[in-house]
Amino acid sequence: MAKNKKTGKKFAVNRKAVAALTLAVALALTVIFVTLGITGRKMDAQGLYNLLPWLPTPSQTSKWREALVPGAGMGETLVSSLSPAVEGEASREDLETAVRVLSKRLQELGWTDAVVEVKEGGLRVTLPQSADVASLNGILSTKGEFTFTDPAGEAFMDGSNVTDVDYDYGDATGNSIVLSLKFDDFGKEAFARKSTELAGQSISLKRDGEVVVSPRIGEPITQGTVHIPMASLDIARENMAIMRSGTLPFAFNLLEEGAEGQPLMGAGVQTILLYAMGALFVVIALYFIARFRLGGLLAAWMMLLQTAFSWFFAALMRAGFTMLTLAAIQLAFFVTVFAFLNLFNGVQRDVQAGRSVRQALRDGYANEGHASLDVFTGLVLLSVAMIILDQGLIRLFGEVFAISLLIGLAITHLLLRVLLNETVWLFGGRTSLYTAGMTNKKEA
Amino acid sequence: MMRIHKSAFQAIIVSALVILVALVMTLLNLGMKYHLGAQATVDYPSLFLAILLMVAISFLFGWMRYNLAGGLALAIAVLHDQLLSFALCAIVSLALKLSVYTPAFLLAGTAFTYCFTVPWLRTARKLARTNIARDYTRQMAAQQALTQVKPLFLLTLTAAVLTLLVFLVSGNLIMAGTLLPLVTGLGASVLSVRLITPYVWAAFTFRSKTRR
Repeated sequence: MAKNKKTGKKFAVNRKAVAALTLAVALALTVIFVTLGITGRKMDAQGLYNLLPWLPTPSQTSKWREALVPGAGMGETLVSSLSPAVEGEASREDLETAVRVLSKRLQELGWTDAVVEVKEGGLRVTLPQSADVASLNGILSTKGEFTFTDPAGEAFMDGSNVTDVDYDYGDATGNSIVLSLKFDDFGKEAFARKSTELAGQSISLKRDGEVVVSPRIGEPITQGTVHIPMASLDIARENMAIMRSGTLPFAFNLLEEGAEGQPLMGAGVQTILLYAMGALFVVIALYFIARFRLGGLLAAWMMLLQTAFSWFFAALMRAGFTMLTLAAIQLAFFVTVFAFLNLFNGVQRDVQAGRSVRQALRDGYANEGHASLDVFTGLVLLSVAMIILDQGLIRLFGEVFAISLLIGLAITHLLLRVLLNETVWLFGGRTSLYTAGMTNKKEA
Repeated sequence: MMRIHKSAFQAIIVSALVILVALVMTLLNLGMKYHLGAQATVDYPSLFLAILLMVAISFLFGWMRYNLAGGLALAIAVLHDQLLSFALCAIVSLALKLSVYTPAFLLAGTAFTYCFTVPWLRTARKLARTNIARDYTRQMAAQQALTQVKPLFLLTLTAAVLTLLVFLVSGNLIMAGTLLPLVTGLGASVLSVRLITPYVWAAFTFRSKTRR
């Protein structure tokens, strides 16, 4: 009973109506969100701004593949063949070294799903269909031998003296891009000596004998680190990837460029996987509904919401439709299923022991709920550690996993709790509504 | 004195032997076989550092959330599962080649470790706290907790197996090899929660019980 401040009269809040309204609003928002996830939406009349669909479906016409670009494992591929630019046959050992260098080169450029393999005396490179094959083939076929030369063209150190390389914005405007290099002891000394000698002149950075850039030396650089201005972000990124991956034993010639191929994980893997994931969702949802009835229905609703939100954030993060993203989202989904099972098992046990549904829910969250809270918290901490520690695939996995876990945590401990309470207000606390094996007769 | 249950001791010996076999195989260049050029991208020092960090975080989390024994039990469970999963991957990779995702998926196996270990740990701790009978040992609490959480364990295990099956039935052998660290992670965590962690936890707290 609430009190009107002006009149001082008490008025009754229709709790059932509030519960019905809350549930209806939550349901409507879910329907809108999931529908947008499947269909996407044009944000203006001209179609300049589009909200792309982000929920993966087997439909081939859906544009979700633009929001979550399939990798070579899950989507159609482009296959290029490279032959070694050497006289005679290249040794197997050298080709395997080339596989390692090119795999690293592709990963540095963000193509985590690409594959390089030895094939018929050369190399076969499998890239996702979305890759710019023409540009990538140039990066893959170059030997990647870097040298630093004086104005006379005399090399005084090479890429092996570079211990760390990265690119960054040179100033706050974002217009200037620099390649930052860190040298080993030999490189530090050689660069200090040459930059002292050549103050006012220029030092060239060459790749395979071609000048990449020739910056003017203003003052001696003796700290062992140098920031070299680059013409564009793409050139800086390309040289960083080549320098980080090391030198190939030889350059390559392109034999065949971008022939269409099947996904690496099997023909039709995308469609089969999406159907299988849908079937898993239905089986788990039906189990919850059969066992926990109204509570189970809410659990199924929340699982749908978690799936929709996880894919939404994966699309925002441009995680792509790869095994890494799929595993991170499905594992977080599994943790949420565990949390629901744990919670509802506790509630069911309490209800069968004679407690009211409301009391059982409160105790469920206080006991079993804390176990799932611990699991979510612990795993989020571990994911944050993955993000901090690694720069590669572990980090990518950690990011999607952490976000999906946080969504699961919020859904389990906030949204589901609120909606369960509202459901009890609306439909009453009859135990047979929330647990299988309890008839009204037994309850009485 | 710290005493570990016989079955837990045997399970630890089996795990240690598997890890040893995997280590020998890897040193002889027979283990850790990767599909295509994936090996080039795997950074082992970074992976081992990540495993150590996970063990340390699990220990601190378990210690702060529960107690010292809880922290040690959780850390040992994570360490055991990660090492055994790694070792199993090294051995099985002779048949199913690993992928570039192996390090990430090995670490992801901690999801299974946490989902199986934490509910048991909470139950065991509660039983040990609430049961004040003099002859009620930590070992009894550990075993009773295992029985109490068994229905949840079986349901969670079913959900995990179904989740992995969804992937396994959808793709080819490359998919199976990619998923291998998660499958071995699940196997290792089942072994540790049923046979090792409870008794290690009981052994760690045995000392403080006798002192009290």
